[in-house]
Amino acid sequence: MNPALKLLLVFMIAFEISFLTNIWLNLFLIMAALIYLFWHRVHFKTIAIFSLIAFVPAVGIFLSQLYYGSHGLYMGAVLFTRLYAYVYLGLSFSLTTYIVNLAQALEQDFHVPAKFVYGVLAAINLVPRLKYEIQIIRANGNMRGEQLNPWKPTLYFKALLVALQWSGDLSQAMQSQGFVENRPRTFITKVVISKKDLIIFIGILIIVQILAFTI
Amino acid sequence: MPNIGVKNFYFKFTSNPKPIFKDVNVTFPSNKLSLLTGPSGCGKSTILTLAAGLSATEDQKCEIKGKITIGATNVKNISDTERPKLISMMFQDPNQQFVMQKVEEEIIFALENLQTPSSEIQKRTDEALAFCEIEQLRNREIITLSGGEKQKVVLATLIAMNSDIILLDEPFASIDLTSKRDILNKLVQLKNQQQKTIVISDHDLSGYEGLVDNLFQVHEEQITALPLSQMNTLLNDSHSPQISFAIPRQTEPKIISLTNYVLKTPATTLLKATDFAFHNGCTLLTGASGIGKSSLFYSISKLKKYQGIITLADKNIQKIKNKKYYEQVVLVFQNAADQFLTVTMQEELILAQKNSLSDFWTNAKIKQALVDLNLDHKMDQVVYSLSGGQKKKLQILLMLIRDPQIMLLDEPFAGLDVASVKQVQNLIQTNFLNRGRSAIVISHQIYQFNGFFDYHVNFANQKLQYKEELR
Repeated sequence: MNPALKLLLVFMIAFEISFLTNIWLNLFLIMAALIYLFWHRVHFKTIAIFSLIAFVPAVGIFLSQLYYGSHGLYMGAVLFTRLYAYVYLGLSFSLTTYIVNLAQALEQDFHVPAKFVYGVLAAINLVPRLKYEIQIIRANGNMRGEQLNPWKPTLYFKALLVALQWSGDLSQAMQSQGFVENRPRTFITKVVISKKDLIIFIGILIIVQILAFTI
Repeated sequence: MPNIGVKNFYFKFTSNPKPIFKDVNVTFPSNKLSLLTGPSGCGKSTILTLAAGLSATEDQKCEIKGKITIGATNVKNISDTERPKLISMMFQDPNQQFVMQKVEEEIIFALENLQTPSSEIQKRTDEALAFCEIEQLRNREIITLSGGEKQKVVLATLIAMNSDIILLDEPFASIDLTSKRDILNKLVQLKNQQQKTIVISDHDLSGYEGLVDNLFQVHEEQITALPLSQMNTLLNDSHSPQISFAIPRQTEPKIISLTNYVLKTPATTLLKATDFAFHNGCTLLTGASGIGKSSLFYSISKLKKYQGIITLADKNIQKIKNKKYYEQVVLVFQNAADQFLTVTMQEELILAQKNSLSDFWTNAKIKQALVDLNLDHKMDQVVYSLSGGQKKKLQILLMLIRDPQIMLLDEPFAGLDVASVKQVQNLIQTNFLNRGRSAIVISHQIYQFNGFFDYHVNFANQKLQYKEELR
């Protein structure tokens, strides 16, 4: 499916269930998302890790509703399943989509400005470097006799300076490769929204509406 | 094919008292491979960046007079759309040039920007990869490549872009001689087969014999084309001052030892040391660019992974807590600004004095050092707005005030003029080395005043070796 359309679909469903208190719809979405994930051969371990991470806040919400909420058990279960629905919907997008394909779809089909698309893409590529940079910043803190803990503003100040430097580098890199803002680009692969994509998109939305308002 | 003309050119950073270029008139001829040389920080990058029409210099305040032309056209009047057809540039640090994750994507990104017809993009990508002989890297993630491979990917991108002029700004700073020769041969081929005009800036003249058509030298605000005979002598002759060093005796106290130590990048092994020790005193560490000197410093600073054991006074450094370790060993970064923690010079100095490990640095001493370094009138200035040389001097002073046992200095003299090097060396000697402390210094600039260095370690062929002489 077209990655941008898939993203839109996930957003729309997530938005809708945040207003509904329908346990069965949540459970259905969880099941559907899990089937989709396994169908895409996502490792079970990856899913398990995310499920575990989500478990603590999910139980927290559940218990707080159970003890303090007006509809106790029912609302607790709704919020518990809703959180997992969010998690698996999110995963079924992020674990099955190559970020570059999303960028291409956003640029070509949704006409998001290329500057924004490739800027974000490059920023994502910088994440591993940022981790290392923070390690260096903290070591330098120690060398100068300052413990730069996560709650010290100096750490963020230095990281911000690095980020500013990189943003300058990045714009220069894009410029050096002939990138000109607002100038049309050609594409090696044409990313289209096919009829099939649209049918699946509308079909899923209709199914969700039926489930939402009939059960 | 167009040439690059520089006419009545004047350039000065507003924050520096002296201009970098003055009345420069020079032409880089078309269809030739020209080499632009001069010490680091002399302005080579500035002139190439301006010629390439990149906006890096816009960030800093500067005064420019005169003009740079591509063929007959002033660079300023070339539109963003036209420019890539005429001129493109390889940066010093390839990491600064990548936008995408994978090799092939990077080249495709550039071709898409140039509005290459969809049907041609794949073909031109393949051709560029083939020309650089890196087809096997096609689907690799760029972050996993070695420095040399990265530069080849950038080169392939520039080749795919097919500009008439290709500029390379210190492209070999982080790669070994073999990769350097590889890329240079490709460039010569490109010049001969496709009539490209190529200009390379490099402060290190090794590896260019027989490949370069013209040599230009930046010297005292001028760029001069050297006559052919002089060029050949310079390129064939490795010229360095004769300085001799002592070889440490076995009994000399060891400060840092490497045992069964191996240092690797994802692609190659940089260094193997079964049993090597740095001794008490001041040691100069030399070796070709990109051989791994900085990486060695980073591993000793616990900022880079290695195999084997590094010991500090017989204790494995991995068993020493970071806080304790960095009280004894500090790394003076190559990029001075990395070391700063506050905003103004005054604040930096107050912080340094507060965290000093001894009472050696009194107010009077600091004041005198500031006068010696010619920094005393800059107290309220934002540290990031100091000139390159001033940043360097302040950085070294701050680390001296901290007063650790061992300092690892990574290119501490880069961008300093001879007089400043002398002051800095004096300062380190009187206030640090003469008090029984030790330093290891990576430097390309081998000025030595008053026997500053005790020992010399050369880093070559994956080995560290004490040498009595340079080279």
